[in-house]
Amino acid sequence: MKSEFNVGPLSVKYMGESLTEAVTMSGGDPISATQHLAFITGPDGIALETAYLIFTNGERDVRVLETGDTPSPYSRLGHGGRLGVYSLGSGHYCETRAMKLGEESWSNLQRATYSEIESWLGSNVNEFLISIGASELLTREGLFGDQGRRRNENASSFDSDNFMAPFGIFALTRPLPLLKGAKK
Amino acid sequence: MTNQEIKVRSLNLPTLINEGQFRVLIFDAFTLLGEELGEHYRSKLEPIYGKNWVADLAKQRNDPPYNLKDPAWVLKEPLRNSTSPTRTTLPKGQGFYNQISLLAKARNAYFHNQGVGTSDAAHEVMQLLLEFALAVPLNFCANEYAEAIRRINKLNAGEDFLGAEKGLERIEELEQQVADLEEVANQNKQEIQLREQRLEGALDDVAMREEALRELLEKVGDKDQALAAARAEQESALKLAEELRKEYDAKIAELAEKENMERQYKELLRTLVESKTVESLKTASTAKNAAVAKDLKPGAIWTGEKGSRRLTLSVNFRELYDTKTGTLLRDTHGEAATQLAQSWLDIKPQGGRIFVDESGIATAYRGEDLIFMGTVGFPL
Repeated sequence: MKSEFNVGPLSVKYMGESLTEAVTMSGGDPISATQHLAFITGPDGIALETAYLIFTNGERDVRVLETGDTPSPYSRLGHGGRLGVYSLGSGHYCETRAMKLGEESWSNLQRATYSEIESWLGSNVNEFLISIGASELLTREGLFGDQGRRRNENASSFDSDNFMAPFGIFALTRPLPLLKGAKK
Repeated sequence: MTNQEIKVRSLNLPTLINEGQFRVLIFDAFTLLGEELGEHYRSKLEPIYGKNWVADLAKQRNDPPYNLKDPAWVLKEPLRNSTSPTRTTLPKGQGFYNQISLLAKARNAYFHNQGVGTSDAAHEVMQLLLEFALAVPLNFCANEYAEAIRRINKLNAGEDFLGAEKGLERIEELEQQVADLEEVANQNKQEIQLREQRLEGALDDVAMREEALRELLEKVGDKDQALAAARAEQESALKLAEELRKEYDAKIAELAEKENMERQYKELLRTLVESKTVESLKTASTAKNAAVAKDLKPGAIWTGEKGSRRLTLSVNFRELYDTKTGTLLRDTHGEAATQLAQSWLDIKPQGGRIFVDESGIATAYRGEDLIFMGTVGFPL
């Protein structure tokens, strides 16, 4: 597994792991988790201390722990835009909804097409995902036969012990679209 | 206005002919203009348009949230928007709007490191500000600008004043304001996360009820009692989601305003560093950091000057990185940088910003106190 890679102009560097206590995305009291840490840096003053949290109850997500002097609109990632990581057979997957700027320059997660993501990345998205050990981008329906209302959301899967792929997908769908000025 | 507010709002008058001090005066003068003109707009327009008039104005134009005290906004708003309500609170006429235009250009130049820091330039800017303040009128500003002009004239005439370190104090005050705003923003962020969770849960609920309603419609048509019940549930879920969204949006707007101000201060600090203002101020100061650091133990209160190089001591990574570039010090200085981070975390377990001067003396804020962290043993 790579410990450092680029996502377009962004750099993702693995910074080790530690134990912590935090609140899961579904809420409740803080519980124990192992956190893998990565530093996402890039132009425009982007310096995001990011964690991939694996909770003892099985929940997982990627979130920014500290934004430091990172300016707006990226500083929004310090309190929003977490990436949920979900179990899929023996592996895990996450959706690739992306942070896009809204009418009031306030970003939120929105559906992103393959070609949109590719335009932000500036190179082949599937090749990038494969390079970090993730699957090609598919709809949830294509990935695991989902028939629910979210069946058309794009997603990518990866081995459960691949802790770098979620960071790559996070960088690809959170700071990168904001850097590229993605609009709703 | 209380004495405390006046103290905060008073200009840092220059004490000698020094480029850094003149720049600080000009920055401060524009900041003061933002505060008093913003308050002038608020006092005139809030009774007419209600408390949320600034937020509403931004929404109407699909703009990011406005900061009422931003010196750029208070000038650009009436200048660029012929229908702006702020115009109703200002004098009329081409001459007045020419003044605003000149001031907006001057602010832009100084806040983007293109302005000159001479006494003549400072005098010219103060004169412009004074004429504008008298025209509005902004009484507090007008007195301060007039006082600044008198001071510049005295300095030009050869008079000296005590307190060469005043400009540096102002920069330290700005840095403390940034640290305070970061603290407040962090507290808000936790609350926003909770509200976001609740809102997303409510929106999911709405979507599921819509889906249930659609399925029911397909099955039983439009005349079933169950349909009415499902519609009622869906409407109730929608109402709850709308209420939660309003609460969430209000909190977000509150945070956005603080982040706006924080960004403004950070930009100001960045310009002050880039324009060599800090270095210039330091040449005017007699304090000697090396003498202060002698025999001082890490963790002790620091009474010397604060360095202009900024590092971030990361609690998560237990490493140091350059705040401006995000470059990890361990990448350029190896294990020594990691060890330094570990030792500094013993002194300041919460991490945060570290200030390093040219000789490697490092200081950091602990609460309101600036403390000595030690000396960096490798060239940065």
